[in-house]
Amino acid sequence: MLGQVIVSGLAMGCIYALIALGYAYVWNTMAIVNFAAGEFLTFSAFVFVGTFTTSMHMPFWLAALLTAAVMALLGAVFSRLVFARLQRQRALVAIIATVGFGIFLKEMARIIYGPEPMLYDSPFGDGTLQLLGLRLPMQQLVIMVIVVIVMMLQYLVLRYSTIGKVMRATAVDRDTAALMGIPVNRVLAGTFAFSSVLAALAGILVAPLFYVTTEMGTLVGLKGFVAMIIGGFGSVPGAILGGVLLGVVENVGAFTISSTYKDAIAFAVLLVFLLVRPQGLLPERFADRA
Amino acid sequence: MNIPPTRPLAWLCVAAALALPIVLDLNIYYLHVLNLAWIAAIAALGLTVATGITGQIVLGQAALVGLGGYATALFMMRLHLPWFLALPLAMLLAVGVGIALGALSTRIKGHYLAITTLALNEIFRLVALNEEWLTGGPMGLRDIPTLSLPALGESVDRQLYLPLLGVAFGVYALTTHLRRTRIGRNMRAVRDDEIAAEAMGVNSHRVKTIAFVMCSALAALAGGLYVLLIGFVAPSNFTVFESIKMMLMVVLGGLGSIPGTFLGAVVITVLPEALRGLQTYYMAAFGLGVVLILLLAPRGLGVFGDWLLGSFLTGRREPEQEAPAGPLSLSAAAATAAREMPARAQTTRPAAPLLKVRNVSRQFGGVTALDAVSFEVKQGEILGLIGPNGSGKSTMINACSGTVRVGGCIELGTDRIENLSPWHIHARGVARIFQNVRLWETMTVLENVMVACGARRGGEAATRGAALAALERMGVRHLAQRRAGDLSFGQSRLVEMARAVVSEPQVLLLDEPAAGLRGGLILELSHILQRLRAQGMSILVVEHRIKLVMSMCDRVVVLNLGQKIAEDVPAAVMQSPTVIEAYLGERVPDPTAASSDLALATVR
Repeated sequence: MLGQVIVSGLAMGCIYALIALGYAYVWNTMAIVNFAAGEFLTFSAFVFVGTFTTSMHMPFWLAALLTAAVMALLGAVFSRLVFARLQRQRALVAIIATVGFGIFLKEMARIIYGPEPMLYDSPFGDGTLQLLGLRLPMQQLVIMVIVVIVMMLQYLVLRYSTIGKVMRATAVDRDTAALMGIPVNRVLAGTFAFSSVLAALAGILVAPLFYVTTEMGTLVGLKGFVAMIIGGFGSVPGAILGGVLLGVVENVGAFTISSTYKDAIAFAVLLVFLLVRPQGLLPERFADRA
Repeated sequence: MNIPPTRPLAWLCVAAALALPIVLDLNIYYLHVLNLAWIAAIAALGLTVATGITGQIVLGQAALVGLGGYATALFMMRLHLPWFLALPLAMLLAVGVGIALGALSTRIKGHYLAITTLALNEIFRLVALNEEWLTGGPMGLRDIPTLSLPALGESVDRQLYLPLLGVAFGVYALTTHLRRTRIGRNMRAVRDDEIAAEAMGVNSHRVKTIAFVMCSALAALAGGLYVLLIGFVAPSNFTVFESIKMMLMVVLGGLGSIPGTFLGAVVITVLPEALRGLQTYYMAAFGLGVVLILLLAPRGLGVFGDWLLGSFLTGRREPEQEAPAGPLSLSAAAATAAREMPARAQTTRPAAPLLKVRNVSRQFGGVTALDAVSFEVKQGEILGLIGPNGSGKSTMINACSGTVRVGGCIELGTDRIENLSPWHIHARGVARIFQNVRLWETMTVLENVMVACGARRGGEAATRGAALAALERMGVRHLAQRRAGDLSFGQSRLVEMARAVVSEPQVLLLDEPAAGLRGGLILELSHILQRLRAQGMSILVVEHRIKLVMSMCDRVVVLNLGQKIAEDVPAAVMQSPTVIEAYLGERVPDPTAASSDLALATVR
């Protein structure tokens, strides 16, 4: 039983890792935390299930691709119109503004798709796979496989191209980066679009696990942030490790201690980490204490 | 004090407007919304103390309000206490929580504090939701006895309207007063630059604790009043969303403006009610409105509020520019200093060592910034600390002021001071300036210097007097009422000098004091420093300009790559081949007088 709890924790951890990775990328280019990330997840789940699947009857892959495209566009526009302008403000103003945008996004989902929760069956069926004496639900396996592929791809891109350096330079000093010939606005919009795609992917993958509601993303978004702190603020490998770890600890804790306090467990883990190891598991070398 | 006749009239208008709902016998629903606005204002003003004034981001104010509400309700229902005991007890409980939060905030800062307080809020909600034996679970506590003041009307909302308004204005007056006092200045200093505040003697732990205590006590007051008004509490009233709404009141009010927060609370409470006509769209409009306001007018209601409640109604303007009594520039101040010099100078020769640095080491990651450095600053001398870039000079200054922790031993007189808190070191008589000027930018120049005065016998007037005198010594008294962030770099430097000397320190640590000063002013600065020495201060100065070092230093210590490579009188140090090599990177082939002169010229 514990093995299965760990596996489903791993699957949820992969989702947290996706969101945490989005935070880390945005932090590394703009030095702002996007507290609307959870609502990006919610909105993309609605777009995916409500528009492309239920109304337009598209196959899974096409619907997923289109959702990612829509969210990338939304992210780029949001970044250009709102987010980039927040960078010169105090941190608190930026936090509240992104929270405000989150509320707007959540309410737009409710206005467009109605208040009723939507049900979405996994395109991979309800089947399970017997492996090493564990019964692994297909959807959880799919989540893990897809997330691992995405992580590897982003690692390769960052490792073998100058994009990573360009992003850092943009974060450290946007004006100087622009003077050095970096197309700053494109970098910012691109990064934000990428983090929106990560949120969209998370939304598509968790849609069969939960009912699709306007509240589904809020806590996932917060826990993604917790995961990034546990891993190390702004650290890309840290975000992945933190996400997976948080998912497992939370699930095991809910199983062994109390399921009603499942959400509290994640936050208790955060408090312990902040007091004991505030720099996170795999800190950025020059990670700022925010 | 002549009061313009418009002001009492204005006050009368405001009072009348606020009493109008009662006089007009307004619909109970409107009264109820206004009552909620006054309660929100109390909680938001508490939040302003922590977030707006002290800069600690708290996203869990609703939980603290909830704590006050639940505690008041439980004290009344379970312990059968009357409301006038239950409410203060609930506030006392919140004070305890505030102290704990203050302790937490010394370790957890910025974004981390935001997410931590948000997490605590969620945990509070979960506990309230699940511990039914105590909190009544999702249905909450019902039938709590509400406050009854029959003399003031027939319904609870009508009875409590004026009392709630009174309490809200009381809290407003309290927070406004707090902001102006020494504690309020210290809070703003911590917000603007915590490291500088600590180095200038502000005990940041205490200041933050006071801020959190105020924040949570006022939240509990708001929660208790809410319970006494509504007679009902449930977890859904204290969600993260409510906390964010309260933060929004603070942000909309211009982050730190108390009148702005008050207006913000009223707007954020009343606006959704007014938007109810939009039904499904109003929350979306609310979210979008927040983004637009923050993008277009981030100072928000603060500007309007400061004008209306700050200067218009109270007539309390910033003190007028006093006719500058002192010298108008550093040169004039230096001239004064020079005139006073002969009387006092050369009375004492450097005597006993005052600041003793022994085997001080510090590593940053793999880089050794300081490697077992030892030297002494003698009583009443100016010791120059020079060395190439990255040789550990600033780290040494940081170590002596307590900003950086080090290994080894630093003694002031007979006391060991290494690794003490910066404010303790400052209290023992060590003051400093920073390499990159670190003033508290949103505060006035005068306030900047007043913070560094610390607590002084004679109260505000004495502090103010001392601060003005220090500004005059640096020839910048005429800038006293300017915002520190508006000054030029050179002016800021002089203000920072004034801030450092106002506490009459024994030891002055100067990290490149001449940086940013125009050429002619440098020698004048040297006069000022010599006068300070004549008054008995010992000065450790990091400086790159050899001319300045030669003209004023009694002795010079040279650092290179974290190690001390020379210590002597300036002229001897300048001739030292090791020093020349460190600066120029290679040994001068023929160490004759001529080539050292050449080397020195290059250094210049």
